[in-house]
Amino acid sequence: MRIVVALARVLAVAAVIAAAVTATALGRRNVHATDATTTLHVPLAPDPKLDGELVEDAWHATPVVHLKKRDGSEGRPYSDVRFLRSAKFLYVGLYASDHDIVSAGVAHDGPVWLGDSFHVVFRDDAGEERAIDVGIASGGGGVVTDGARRAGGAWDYAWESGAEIATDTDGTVDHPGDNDEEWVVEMRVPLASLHLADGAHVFVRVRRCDVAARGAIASAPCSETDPIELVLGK
Amino acid sequence: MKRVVWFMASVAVAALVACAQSGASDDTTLGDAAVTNPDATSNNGACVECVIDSDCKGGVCAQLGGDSYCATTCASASDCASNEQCISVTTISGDQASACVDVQSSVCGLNPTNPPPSDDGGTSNDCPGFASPTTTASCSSCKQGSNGCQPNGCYGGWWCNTNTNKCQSSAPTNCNGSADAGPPPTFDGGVTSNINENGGTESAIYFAVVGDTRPANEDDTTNYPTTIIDTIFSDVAAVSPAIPFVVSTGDYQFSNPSGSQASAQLAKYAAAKGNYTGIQFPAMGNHECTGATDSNCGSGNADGITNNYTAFMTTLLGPIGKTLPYYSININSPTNAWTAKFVFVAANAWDSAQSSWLTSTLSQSTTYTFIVRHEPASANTAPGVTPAETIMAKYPYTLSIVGHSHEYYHSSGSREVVIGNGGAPISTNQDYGYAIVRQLSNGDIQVDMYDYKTNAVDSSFEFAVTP
Repeated sequence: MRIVVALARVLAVAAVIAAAVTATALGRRNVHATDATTTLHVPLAPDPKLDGELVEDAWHATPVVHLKKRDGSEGRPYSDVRFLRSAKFLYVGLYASDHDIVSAGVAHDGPVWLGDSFHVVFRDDAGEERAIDVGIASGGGGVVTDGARRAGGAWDYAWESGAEIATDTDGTVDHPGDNDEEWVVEMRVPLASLHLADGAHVFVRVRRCDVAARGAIASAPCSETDPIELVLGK
Repeated sequence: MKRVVWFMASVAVAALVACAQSGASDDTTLGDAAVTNPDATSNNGACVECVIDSDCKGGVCAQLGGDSYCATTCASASDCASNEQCISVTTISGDQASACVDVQSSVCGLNPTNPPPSDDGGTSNDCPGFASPTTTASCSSCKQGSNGCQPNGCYGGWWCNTNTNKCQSSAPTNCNGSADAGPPPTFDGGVTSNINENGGTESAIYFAVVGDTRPANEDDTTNYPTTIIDTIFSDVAAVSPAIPFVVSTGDYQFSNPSGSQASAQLAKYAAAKGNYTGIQFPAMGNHECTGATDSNCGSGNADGITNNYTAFMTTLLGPIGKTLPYYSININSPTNAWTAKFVFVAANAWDSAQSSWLTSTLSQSTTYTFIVRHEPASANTAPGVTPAETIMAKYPYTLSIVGHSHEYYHSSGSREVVIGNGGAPISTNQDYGYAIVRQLSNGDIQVDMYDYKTNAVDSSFEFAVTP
């Protein structure tokens, strides 16, 4: 019985630390509406098939935003993002060139940034931030961690974006040395969960870090977009 | 048992703490000062990086020292530390503010002062993509008309990146008047050649390599990397002496194998390389089959004749009269001082006929043997990689030139070189470019990689192999 109690205590402590760690990690990804430099008008389009393949004409017609290094040059490895909207969803297409695809090995709402991942953070005029982090899962597919907060406040992981994702990997996950090429995430987020309607706008920033091994964040090259103002067309 | 539980618990906690430390390190990498220094209400002698005022908790995120750092706002010098002055700064959002700055700091002190623009009677804006301090541009780090605000919208001698409309402390170091800044390489001594689609003679082995030129996403012809390919082939065309031929390592498209974009993308490729008038000898990539590395095209093979395969055969191999995706050419010295064969292997159209052909071709003795294939030896899911490597191991060869990985890479002592940075999304911290392979006076073969924008050689990459 004492063993059970001890284990329960330890797990409780671990849970608290995990929550703090997660909050800290998400908390660093600020998106600042005040320094938006790019405005994208996202026209109403038919729903693309959610299959991880950005092959519909609408995907090809929408602007491609390259992620950049901090000095403004194109990010390395190359990454880009594009957006679509339908009547009910905002679609986000994320492309990552990747020599070695690494998963975080975590479940939903875990620290997906321990592996190769994108970080997509929305911020509305009221200062509410909603973050959706997307990583590649160990067996392929993807994993999402999402949270919301008032700017500067603690992340609330009870918030669920309702994001659905499909991924396409060209290469092997967690198998170094065999020359992976890239991975793609096609994500759809209910407009309602982002409090978006026709004509509304939201600021978004996208960041990607390319880890060489699970957890090797410190040495991972990262790149990100300038803040993007998405304006939903009708 | 209890000790076991506590040990496991310790491991779990340690792992979580490690995660936290990883996250903190990431913050440093990303320069989010609000996390790395939560007490950044003042720089207090420390140089705290920031990206926005709110990172500085009451202070401002100011353009200092060629970057952006937190600074405490002030009304007068009495508000600042003894080593600081209360001076006017421009915040990262372009506003003017009075803030405490250690002007002697080499990190977050005053911005570096650039040399004044040269007065050469012409424009001082001699770097495409960047506006000099005296050139009108759309940066908005300061308000036009405000004290010290330059016509380009920056201050302190900074340049404006006209692509991002952000100020930076100087123009790119490689900028000397052209977007394609550096001169193309020039090699001593001329090279005479007489080469057609079946090979020929050359006074010294001398050719360029370009690899992997596809867009990021399938059927995304709109975003085909035309500009990069055009620049690369323009660079190659400008090299002196003229480069007689180019070999390419595959993946000229990213097309649905049963769709309609293959021809359109290869037409873009052909047009983009139009500045180069020499002969191109292309190898077939996996994207000339279905796109999958393990795909196998060609009559009788699992994936058959795809539209991608047909477009490749028609657009790239048709002009040099090749009817199979694998072929070889011989290029020899006009004096017969040496002989060379170039063997183009199609690992995504592998069959017994190609296997026999490769064995027969490699068995023919030449001074030099260059094998050009798309996938490197490590990408062994491609049907022809391992069988080809098995055959190659039985015969001497000078160099195996491959692509597939969107990078350039050579491991010391290896006879395989990866050249896949021709326009497809780069997968490493490198840039697009082209390689030049040339025969040295001692007979060795040297390989150099050149940046497509600057024509600068990557001295960390260059290597030579003996035949």
